[in-house]
Amino acid sequence: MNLIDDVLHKLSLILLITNSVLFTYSSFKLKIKAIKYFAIYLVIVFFVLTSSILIISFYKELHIKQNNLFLSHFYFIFQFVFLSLFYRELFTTKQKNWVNLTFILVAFVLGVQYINNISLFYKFNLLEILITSFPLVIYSIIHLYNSLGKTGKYMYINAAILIYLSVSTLIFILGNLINTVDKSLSINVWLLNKVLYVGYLTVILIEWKKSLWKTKN
Amino acid sequence: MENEKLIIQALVYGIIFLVLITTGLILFFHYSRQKIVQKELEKAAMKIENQQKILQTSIAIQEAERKRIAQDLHDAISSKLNIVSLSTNVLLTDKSINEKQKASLNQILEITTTTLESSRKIAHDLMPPILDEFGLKVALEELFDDFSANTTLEIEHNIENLSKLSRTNQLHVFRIIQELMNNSLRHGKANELAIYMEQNQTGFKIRYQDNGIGFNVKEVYKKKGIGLQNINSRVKILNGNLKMESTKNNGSLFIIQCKYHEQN
Repeated sequence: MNLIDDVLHKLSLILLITNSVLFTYSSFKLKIKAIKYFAIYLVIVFFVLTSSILIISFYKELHIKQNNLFLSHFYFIFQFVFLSLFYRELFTTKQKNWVNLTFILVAFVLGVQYINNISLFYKFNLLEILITSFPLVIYSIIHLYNSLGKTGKYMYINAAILIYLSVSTLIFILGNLINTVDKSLSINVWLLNKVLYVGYLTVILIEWKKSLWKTKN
Repeated sequence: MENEKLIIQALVYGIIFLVLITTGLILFFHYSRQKIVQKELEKAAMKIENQQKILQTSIAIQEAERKRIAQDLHDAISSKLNIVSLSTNVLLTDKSINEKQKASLNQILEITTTTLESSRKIAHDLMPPILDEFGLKVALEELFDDFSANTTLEIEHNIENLSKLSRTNQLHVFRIIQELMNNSLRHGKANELAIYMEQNQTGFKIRYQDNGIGFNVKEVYKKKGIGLQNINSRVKILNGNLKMESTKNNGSLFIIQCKYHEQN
């Protein structure tokens, strides 16, 4: 089990690096705003992931029992911001206004929540996960709807986001609960999450190959 | 422990369920899109077909109207003018008229004759009577002779009579070749033509080649002139297809291959 876990972990890291580099390269080359935001999202996720790995090993050195869950807030908030911007570029004017409104609402709710209870910072913040992930799922469905009459852009990315985000949202919302469960059992869930994450990154790579590879040359 | 196991189990199945639901959603949208695109394509095809039908109808009407005018010219004008000419001739034989009157009558006779000649020519252009009487082969040969006599065009031809073709369809073939020749002369500045027409069991084939300045096939396809549209519609009526080959300064080649309709 540990071996599979390790392989998936490394695989997702390699895929993330590849995707980040490829999308960053394409965004400089093509100057498409949507791709630029998506590249920033990938790079930030990459940094969050590497810093979480570094922090874990750092704590291990010092023999401090501490979790790296505070990084999850960066992950969710940046994911929300940049994927929203990504979808905003693909939407119609009216839909763009809705994205803007959602931005304001989410920022307001999270601001109020953290001012009230700063200790939320050290575990999964369930409300945060819900209100930063749910709009993205909705956006991806809206994008699917938009693409009904014509050929949609970045349909692979969209499908990947829709599937992975809905599932990971469920997992992370139950994250605090899962963490209380015996580790030998809970590892199944995290393993499933990793499998899906590798799938997610692979589909993003396919998207790059399909819609950005050719225009690159 | 037992409780925890249940929680994890529920969660794992929940996750799988969610994956399936979202995948289903994506597939639903994907196939809906395909369906919509298919409908759009069908609509576009129907539009083209309608336009084609309108064109074909207008061609049929055009031919009918030409025939009517030719007939009217013959019946109403030519026959009356013949009477005028005959009466004038009768008057001319009268000994009692003086020189002045005779000159006038001669002038009338002359004008009547030229008018008769031009009305005959107009009617002939509108509806080649020779096609009705002697068939396509003779009509085309006459057309070629006409062109050769009036222009510097040299025409090489080998025409088989399309006996299985109905009169109306023979007229379409005649018009197609007439139009192609006009195009070669007017736009292509050609001075040599080679026209072959042969029939087989199921249909016939026309091969038309000139040595004119040629044209860009792609551009012409995109922006067809009325002449070419007419040719195309007539080829469609004949249940055939038109192939064009041409390059600048290299002449052009038209191949028309038609299958007989079932009812013919």
